[in-house]
Amino acid sequence: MGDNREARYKAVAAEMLSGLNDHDSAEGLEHIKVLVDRWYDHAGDINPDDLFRIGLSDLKEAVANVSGAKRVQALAELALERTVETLSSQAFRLAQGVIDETTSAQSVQGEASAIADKIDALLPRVKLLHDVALKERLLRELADADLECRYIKEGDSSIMSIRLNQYSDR
Amino acid sequence: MANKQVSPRQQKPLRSSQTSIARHAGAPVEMVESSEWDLLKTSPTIQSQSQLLGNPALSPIQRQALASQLGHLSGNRHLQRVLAHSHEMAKPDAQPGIQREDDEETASPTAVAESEEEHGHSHGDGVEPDVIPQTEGGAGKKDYLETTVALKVLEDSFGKYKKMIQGTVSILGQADFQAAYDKIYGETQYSWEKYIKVKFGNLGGFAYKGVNYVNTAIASSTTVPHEMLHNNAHSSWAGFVGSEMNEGVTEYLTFEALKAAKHTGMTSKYPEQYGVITALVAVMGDEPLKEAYFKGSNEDLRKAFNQKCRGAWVDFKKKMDEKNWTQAKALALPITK
Repeated sequence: MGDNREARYKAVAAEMLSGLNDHDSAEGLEHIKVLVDRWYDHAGDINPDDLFRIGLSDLKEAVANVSGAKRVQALAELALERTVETLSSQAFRLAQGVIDETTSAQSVQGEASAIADKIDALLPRVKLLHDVALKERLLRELADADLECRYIKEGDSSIMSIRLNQYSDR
Repeated sequence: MANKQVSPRQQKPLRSSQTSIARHAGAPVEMVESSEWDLLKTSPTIQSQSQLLGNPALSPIQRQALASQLGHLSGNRHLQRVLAHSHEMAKPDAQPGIQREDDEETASPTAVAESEEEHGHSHGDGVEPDVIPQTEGGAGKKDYLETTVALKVLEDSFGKYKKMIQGTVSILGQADFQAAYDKIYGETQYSWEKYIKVKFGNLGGFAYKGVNYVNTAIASSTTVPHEMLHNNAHSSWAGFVGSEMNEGVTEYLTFEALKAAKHTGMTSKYPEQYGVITALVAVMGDEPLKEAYFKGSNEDLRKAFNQKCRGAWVDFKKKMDEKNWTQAKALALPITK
């Protein structure tokens, strides 16, 4: 199957969405695409079958004991988690460059503002999460990313995330 | 906005080993009345010093600063005795008028030792390190571990790698945490009420001028030992492995120590990172991780990874930094012959 995305989507959907009505299946498939894309994007020469096996195994574990429409909700939460992580990672990387002085704060302020806007857009969805632990974790990710954007935008007197402080302290 | 000071951009950031009392307690120290300090340093006994530190009229920050100065003047061992006495006095069956440690208004300060590297000597040479006190306010809301308990748990599990120290993390109850935040931003658009509360509801931690502030209201039993472990990592560790692997290994070690101490019911705040590290440990064991974490044997870790795992260390680190757990796990699979 290699990195044939459509084939991978279908294979995962067959495992995850069987028995659901058309509406739920369609929604579930959109979340699966987000998750599977994360497995394969920029994977380089990592064996695609390894990625599929690991990704599917983790996915099954994450939605174990969840069935029906709730499974779609669980997939939505996982897709949201991946989206938040990607954004958080972008903010951290941007701020790391400023700390390292490989880039100037001024030159990435536009990017930091764009990330901050995305954080604002994601927050309402995160706040609606029913899983308290997940909500807390994603809020922490977004708050860290927000602090990093503030650090880039506001300058030297700003507070920063603990992870950025640990990075600057290395 | 706070006064502008030398920033990480302007100056090579201070390493944790250089984190000083001035950096940590700069603001709180300024808030201590000189008369209180005069009284404390001229108090002849541990009991009287303990009573002065337990004065309910003092704010937690003032108490923290006073204890800091006492530790600086008299040394860690002396401060620990004073604190131990305060702790004893704060027990429910102690004399009336002394409130418990988990009372936010009278929280006892807790000694926090700087790393041995900061002073260029080991703990085995009989020289006590300087101390930085921290305040634990707002307890009772969450089941976080007290620093003394956490230190023992870590020492029992990892003392053979290095003498465990508490470090410079400032662990604060909700009210103190908010106050620390608003001391910086209270008059700005980023104030707690206008910004944090509205946007995120609460905040688990932030860093300012090199000090990490952790909010116990969002803490669990793993929080304090986890943060303490960060302070025990070798100075080269975090830079070598990156932020995500650092969190994953720290969480792995936290769980190992708590399990060994028969603690149960822990939930990870870094489940994805922890999951990758658990998979990695299944392939190469955890000894290379511990040796690198505590002793700085980074090259041995890199070699162990490259010898036993399918991917290259450099790629694994990159995928961890990108939070791509699936790809990181694939790179950490065992080499098949």
